[in-house]
Amino acid sequence: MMKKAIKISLILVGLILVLNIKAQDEQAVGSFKEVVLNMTLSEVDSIKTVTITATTTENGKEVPVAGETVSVFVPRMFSNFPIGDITLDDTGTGTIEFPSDLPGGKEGILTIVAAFIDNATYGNVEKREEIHWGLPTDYLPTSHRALWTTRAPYWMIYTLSVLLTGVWGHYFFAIISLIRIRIDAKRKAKAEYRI
Amino acid sequence: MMEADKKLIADLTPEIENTSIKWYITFFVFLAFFVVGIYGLIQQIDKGHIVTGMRDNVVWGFYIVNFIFFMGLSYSGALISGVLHLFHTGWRKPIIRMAELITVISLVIGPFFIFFCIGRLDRLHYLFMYPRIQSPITWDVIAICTDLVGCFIYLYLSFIEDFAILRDYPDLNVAPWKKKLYKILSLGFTGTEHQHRLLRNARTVMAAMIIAIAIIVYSVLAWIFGVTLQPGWHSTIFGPYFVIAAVFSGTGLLIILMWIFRKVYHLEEYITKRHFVNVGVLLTVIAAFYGYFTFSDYLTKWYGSIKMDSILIDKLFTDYYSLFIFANYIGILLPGIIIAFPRFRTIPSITIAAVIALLALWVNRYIIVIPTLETPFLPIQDVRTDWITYAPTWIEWALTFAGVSVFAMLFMLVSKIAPIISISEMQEKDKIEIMK
Repeated sequence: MMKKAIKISLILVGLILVLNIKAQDEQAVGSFKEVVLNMTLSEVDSIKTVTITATTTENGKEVPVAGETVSVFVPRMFSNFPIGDITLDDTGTGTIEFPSDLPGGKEGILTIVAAFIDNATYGNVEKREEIHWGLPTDYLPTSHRALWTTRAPYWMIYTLSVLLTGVWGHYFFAIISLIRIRIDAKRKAKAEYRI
Repeated sequence: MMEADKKLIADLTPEIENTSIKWYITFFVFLAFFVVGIYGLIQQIDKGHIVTGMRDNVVWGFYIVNFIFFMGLSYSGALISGVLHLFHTGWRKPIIRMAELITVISLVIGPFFIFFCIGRLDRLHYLFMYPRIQSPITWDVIAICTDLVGCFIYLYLSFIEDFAILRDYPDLNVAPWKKKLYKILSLGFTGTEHQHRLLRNARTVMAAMIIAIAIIVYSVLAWIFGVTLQPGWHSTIFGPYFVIAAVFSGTGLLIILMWIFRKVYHLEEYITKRHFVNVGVLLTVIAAFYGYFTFSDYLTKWYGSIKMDSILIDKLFTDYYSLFIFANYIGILLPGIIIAFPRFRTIPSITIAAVIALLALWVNRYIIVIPTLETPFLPIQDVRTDWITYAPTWIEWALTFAGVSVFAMLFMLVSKIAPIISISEMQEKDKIEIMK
């Protein structure tokens, strides 16, 4: 009887925990309003512009998100490089000029991100696009031999090769000696067997 | 048939034939430490390096200290055994095998601490797939692999004659698998003049080679620090300084092992006070060199008064005062004083001096690695203290003790397969004495 009661209690506690977690998740999802972010990237007379449009749905109708701040940045190796913040106008639109001198790897490709960050109404929402707006930069010219390129200076290769050849050559000598000891032992055993 | 002195075999082989309860108890105690270490490692793999004391700034902790320490022991073992062998030092014979075993066992354990330290072990093979010859890390990988092969060959060469003696000794009461092992590993060595010549030449070549490799390889390890533009590390004397420090620690460990095996395996007749005094004098001489290098390194840094060096030296004399004094004053002077005065030259006091030297050298490694990482070039503001200071966690302690335990266990296991004193070396001694 006692065991049954404990079992039922445990099942009930487990059920309550699961329902509670589910309810918390639903609450977390349901606490922010849905928003659609659109990003348009345009270039006119060498001036690069990022245009952001944000809309939300109210009573089944699509309405612009006005007065909110959208952050624009470019993800780099360790953190995000901020381009600036855009305050959306009454039509839910905002623009910002994009710099022309950002390095963008070998191909010059940059990832541009527009995002609501910790927004009280919309939470964290982001839109990202890739575009050839960066300066193509190749920091590792393959033709050059140096400490910092992919090709080592010749003196390093020569030094290492000479050292390794010398050392492994001696190892080889020792191993050959061991093989010769084995051969000699076999020969001696054979001779003794004949006698 | 390899002939051998019956008394010699009777004195040196009982530990191969029988295993005492004490041996098992000791082994299981070390095994327990090892298991705790493995538990700690599982925790680390499961939760990540956050369970260690290492953080963004102090990215190297106990693991790197232990790595340098064990590698140092290994190179010193190679140097000591190589030099003793090449110069045909008469008194070397009972202790040379211990030095050889220190070399290989430490070399096997050391690199594991690097594995514990690496955050992305799944990328370890990149070191071999995409090596950059310009990187000191690549030099170190090549050097350690080369050294490992060389030390194994050297150790094996020194064991062949003993394996042949044990194979041919009819009264040896060991398990059949051991007899079979001796037969395979002795390569059919029967002690003909031709075989002796081949073995002698190979051993001489390898002895010379492992001395050279030990110096180069430990210098490479020192250069990993030396070529880094960090306060306290960027020093031109780090190569020789590390080599001398390594020999210092290895000599200390050799004395400790001599004391342990002499006592446990009752080898008083073979490892005498003379051996302790001779190795002790070696320890004193090396302590003098090591002290000279230490003083020279810190003096130039202090006098130069480069800002970051001054901050580092201030830190060493404040936050790390007691460790600094222990590592660089007590650890160098006390062993020297104990051994320099003839009245203190007893086996226990020389062993105590060796223990102090060994511990001091470990602490020396600690104060080379950690305070520098706690002295960054860029000022760090408004960060949590534990991000810029280092305190080892129980997991790091557990893995450190696990490393020491594995060292002890491997030594114990090897001593069950081959005598801890080389029978063939001892016989050679007898031959020389007879010839004289």
